[in-house]
Amino acid sequence: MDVHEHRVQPVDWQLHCADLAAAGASMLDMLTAVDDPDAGRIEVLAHLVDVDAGQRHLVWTAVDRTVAELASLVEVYPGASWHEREVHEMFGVTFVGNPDLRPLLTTGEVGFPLRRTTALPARVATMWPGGTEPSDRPAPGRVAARPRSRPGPPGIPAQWQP
Amino acid sequence: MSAHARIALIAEQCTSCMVCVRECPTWCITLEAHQELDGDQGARRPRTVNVLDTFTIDWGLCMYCGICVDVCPFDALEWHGDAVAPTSAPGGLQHGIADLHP
Amino acid sequence: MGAVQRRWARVGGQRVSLHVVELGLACCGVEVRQARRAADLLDSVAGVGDGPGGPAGPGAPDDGLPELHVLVVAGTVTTRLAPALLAAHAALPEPRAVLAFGACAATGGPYWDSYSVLPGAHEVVPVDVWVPGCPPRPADLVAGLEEVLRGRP
Repeated sequence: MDVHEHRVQPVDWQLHCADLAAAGASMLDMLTAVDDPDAGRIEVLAHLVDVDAGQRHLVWTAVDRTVAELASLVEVYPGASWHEREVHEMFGVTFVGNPDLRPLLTTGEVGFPLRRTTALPARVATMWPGGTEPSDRPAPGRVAARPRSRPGPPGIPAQWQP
Repeated sequence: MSAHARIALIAEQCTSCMVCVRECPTWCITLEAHQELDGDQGARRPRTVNVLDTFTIDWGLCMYCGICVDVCPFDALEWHGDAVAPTSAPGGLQHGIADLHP
Repeated sequence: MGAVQRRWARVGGQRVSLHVVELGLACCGVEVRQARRAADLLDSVAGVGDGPGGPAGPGAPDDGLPELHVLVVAGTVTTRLAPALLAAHAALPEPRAVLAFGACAATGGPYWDSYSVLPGAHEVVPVDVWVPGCPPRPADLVAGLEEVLRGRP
């Protein structure tokens, strides 16, 4: 299948997807998001498929992390309802026009779980076995080596690193 | 039986490089080591070597992905076909060097 | 969930009616269910089969033998599902045992750090035997049940 990548501004999101749907991309395969805290934005991706023409469209846009709002696609693809609900729950993006953005799974303990700044408490609180080195217990008469950089536990945001 | 039922440690080949500990996705490997001087080389100064003290795999956390086996630079970890036995002791799934023998 | 098998077993010299209840919560549940399909699986547990019906005879609730109920917790224990696990255990009459099947039931497995997963079934119910694996094989279920039988006085 041909793959076409599109990058649009949030204001053009709904119209662009509607145009693709009208042109034959009748199937919404997936709507998801990627958090980019360094750039201060959350990228939203819609994967639209034109099954008859054998074409896949990856439509990207990016919303500001603090004001994470985007137009809903439920008018174009009714099936986007649950995808948007999940992105809202996991990333905190509000889809204007989606009638039901209630959480599917979470009960609000951890904020937005899939944002990269969300730390898993169990992972932060557990000592990482990879944080030690044999040189922490040096040979008699030797000083403990100071490596230039010591790896921190993976999967923990910078401000939560030990 | 499949050959991927248990991971064994060849302790003599382990250099305590910590790569398996750091790459394990579930943090199920714990390794403690210290350093000693090995002066029998006849060189100008003694060599510093890592000495393995403890190596533990928590089989309750292990998901048998085999990343540790793949990533060990010294081939000190290998797959075996005999599964880890069930246990009724709460800490019984934590296996040390002796239990991890090939 | 809640599938049941009965067999006679010999525990410490005494014949009992072994009653295995499977609580399949995730992938391990699929494995246990498939393992149970093997007609001779429970019969290959050492000590099973010495019953009034002869080898490999099925047990019945009213066969007059003392019963041993084993709850096989197979899968991830999410915080949402914890009350259901507690209820399933409470509904099981004594004497009962709990077998934690797989990494998730032992420690939370690969999801030990999740905000919605309990780090092991032992957080909710007393566990008698842990079977390691991700998932364990049918033969490991047999070995786990044997360990349960060994642990009964």
